[in-house]
Amino acid sequence: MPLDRRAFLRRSALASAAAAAAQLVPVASFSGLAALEDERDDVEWRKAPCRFCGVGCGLLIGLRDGRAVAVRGDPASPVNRGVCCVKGYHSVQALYGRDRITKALVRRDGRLVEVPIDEALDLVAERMRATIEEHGKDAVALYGSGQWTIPDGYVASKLMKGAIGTNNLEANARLCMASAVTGFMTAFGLDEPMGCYQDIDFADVFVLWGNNMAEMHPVLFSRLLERRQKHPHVKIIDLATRRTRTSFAADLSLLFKPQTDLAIANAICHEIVRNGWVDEAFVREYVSFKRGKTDIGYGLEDGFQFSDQAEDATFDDLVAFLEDYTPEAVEELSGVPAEDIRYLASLYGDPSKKVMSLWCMGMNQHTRGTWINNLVYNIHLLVGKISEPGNSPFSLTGQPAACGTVREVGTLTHKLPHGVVTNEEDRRHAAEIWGVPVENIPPKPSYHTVEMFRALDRGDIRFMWIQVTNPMVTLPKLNRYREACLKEDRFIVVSDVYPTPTTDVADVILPSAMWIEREGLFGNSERRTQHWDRMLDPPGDCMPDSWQLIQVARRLGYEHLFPWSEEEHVREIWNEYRRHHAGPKHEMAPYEELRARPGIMWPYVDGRETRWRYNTEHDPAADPSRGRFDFYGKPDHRAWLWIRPYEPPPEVPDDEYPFWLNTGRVLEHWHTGSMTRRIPVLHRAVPEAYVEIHEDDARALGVRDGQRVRLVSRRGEMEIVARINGRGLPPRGQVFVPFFDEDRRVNVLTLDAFCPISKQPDYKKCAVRVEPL
Amino acid sequence: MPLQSYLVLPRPGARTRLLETLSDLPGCEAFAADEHDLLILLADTPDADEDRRLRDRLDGLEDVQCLLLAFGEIDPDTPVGDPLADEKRRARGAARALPMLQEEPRS
Repeated sequence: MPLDRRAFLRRSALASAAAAAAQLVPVASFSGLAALEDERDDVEWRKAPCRFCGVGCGLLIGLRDGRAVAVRGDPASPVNRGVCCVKGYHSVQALYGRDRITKALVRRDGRLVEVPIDEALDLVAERMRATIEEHGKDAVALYGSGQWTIPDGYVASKLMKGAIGTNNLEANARLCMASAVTGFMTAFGLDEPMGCYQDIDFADVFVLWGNNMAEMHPVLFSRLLERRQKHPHVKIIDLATRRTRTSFAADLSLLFKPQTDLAIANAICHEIVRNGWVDEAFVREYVSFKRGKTDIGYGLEDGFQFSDQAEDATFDDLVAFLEDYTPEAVEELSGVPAEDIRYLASLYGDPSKKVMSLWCMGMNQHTRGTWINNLVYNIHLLVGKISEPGNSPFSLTGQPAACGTVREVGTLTHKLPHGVVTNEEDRRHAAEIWGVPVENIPPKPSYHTVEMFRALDRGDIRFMWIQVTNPMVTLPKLNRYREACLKEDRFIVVSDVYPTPTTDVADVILPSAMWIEREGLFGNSERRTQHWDRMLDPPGDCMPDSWQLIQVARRLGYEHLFPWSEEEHVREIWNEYRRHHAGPKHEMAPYEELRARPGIMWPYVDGRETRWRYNTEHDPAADPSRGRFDFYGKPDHRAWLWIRPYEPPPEVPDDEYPFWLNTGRVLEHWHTGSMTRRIPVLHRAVPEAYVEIHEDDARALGVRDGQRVRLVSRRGEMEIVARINGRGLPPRGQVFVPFFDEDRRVNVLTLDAFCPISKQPDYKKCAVRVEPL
Repeated sequence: MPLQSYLVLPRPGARTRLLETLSDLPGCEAFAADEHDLLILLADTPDADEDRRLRDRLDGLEDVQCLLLAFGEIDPDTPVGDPLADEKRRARGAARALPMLQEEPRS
């Protein structure tokens, strides 16, 4: 429908002013402009965060006749400024797959039968109650997701910990972000980045640690490229175990052997010390030195337990420790030339350069994930490049609400919305807001994710409810845990939107409302909470995950704890949840403001976002009497620099299994592909998973591009097509498989070893052999 | 019917007050940046005289630190280059910015 002349001029005028504002103040947003839509269009545009990754792009969803018909980037969003990636632009098509689950299903005599949803919810509640009565409250478990909305996670936490009284609550972010969390907590005492995306607009150097940012966080990567285009002195350094699209866009691509990032980080610190690049004043005033345990194991045994212990150390202890990490020694171990290590160190050590380190799964999915997070913080702490514009160690997130829900609401066994279950004051604080006796909240964590599924296998857990995630594709050492779900006397409930290998093992399937079919909130990598209204009617009997939990909670007798109406429950939950975080260290924005704006960062104090935490100029929670910085998360108000060594992974290639196996994602597909494989253009782009093999290895094996091969590990085997010289180029002795394809489940091969501190599994390193077919 | 948009830099501390003042001006809509002291003003007046009166009022606003024209529509009824108005604006340090949009030919 054509614009009339006046409307065209008005829109042009506003667009010109907004464009000029963006040039002057790149992060300025005008949420009021988004409300000015031309009402004569028959498409209504409403804001929402993207359904997919942790960047948290702001979208405008085009709605017509009760359907989502278009997507554009929200120019008012300071995250993406009107740009999307290919998944975002096609995101609404994920709502309309032909095999969408719209009815509740119950398995009877091996077959799934449609039932009214109330009947299914009755069954879920009855089985929960029966399991608790027969086996105890720790025999039931809830496994959720970093794709839960904040209200979903909050209801889950209140139900399991406050009402039922079990800490058997975990989420798939244990598999993606737990090491980032423990990295933050051990170094700073508080979770989540101290900086924000705006650091990109100030940095002179970007060092990417094991992160294929071009494909995994494409819109943010485009901001790096734009920064470099406008400021040619800017450098992008890619540190990775294989070459990717990120490598080809970088100024320098360095390949390291798996696990040796630990040594590289220490070598950089060695050079910083040797060259006198330490910011001595910063270290003296704001840093404490600590040492933890070493030789800490890999969690391979059921019931594995580990607790670290911090011992005080000194700068001199660090210097002595670093003597083993000369660039030459680390070159021998890692394969990265000593001169390149020195070059990296010089970039960090140059006081005139602002440096941003960025990482995600390469560092987090790591049997020493906490350690490598500590070590990258060490680099920044030694040179005083932290908590100020452009100087930013930045942990990126994979999922849209791994931060906002799992980490901030606390949907992990040891967590509460504020604090941890082991802290009595934190339990009292939660109990008061929830309106439950403090004795309800167990003071000991129970099972992290891998242990939870081991407990299911052993029979210590008999009932598990899985929401918004697909563990029958994503769990490491998959065969064991799939068989666990299928054992006698296990009852599995799955809430999802499409059939998956996880719904295949379910006894009850509950149809979930998806994304813009329900009101919700996400929280992205940079502490930005984003709200969206319900825009569409969910099909059939589909119901928001939070509402499913509330319905079951009421059937269990907890109506008094979940009294809200369906129309108001999101707002009421948000208002209750905010109370847990009251105060300048974590204040969350009011509901009405979140509805109006394209996201608001927390802490949100006196109407302003805190962009740089711990910096007394920017953070109202930081005490100016302590100088430029106040790392108030620690009792001594200092950041803790941890002395951590290199330790090898538990399984390395040998004669029988001579290849490293690395796993990850591709641009076009999100996680296990249950949504993106139902979007035709994305599916056609990458229709099936493949194994990347170096051309010389392929030649030695007699494997051609496109040929089927068998991958075999100590845990299982799979058949897959080989890809040689594709978009990713592993070095010799390494293969890579993306995990989006449920028909080619790479996790039958992987190892369920984990970081003993974070309990996060390592999906990047195990040993396989390749057999031509 | 003249139509312009402006970027408006308020004096320190005057953001909210200026937003209200601008929003109350006839023919005007004002939008504040969410987290910065910066406003967008859309001025849509019925004729050249109203447009001139509006510009005079804008010139007289003490809470305005800087006013930048971001978009302006020229039509045959709007005189270009009023020397007195231009001198006043120069005196207050306001800047003019491109572009000026040419009116499409009437059919």
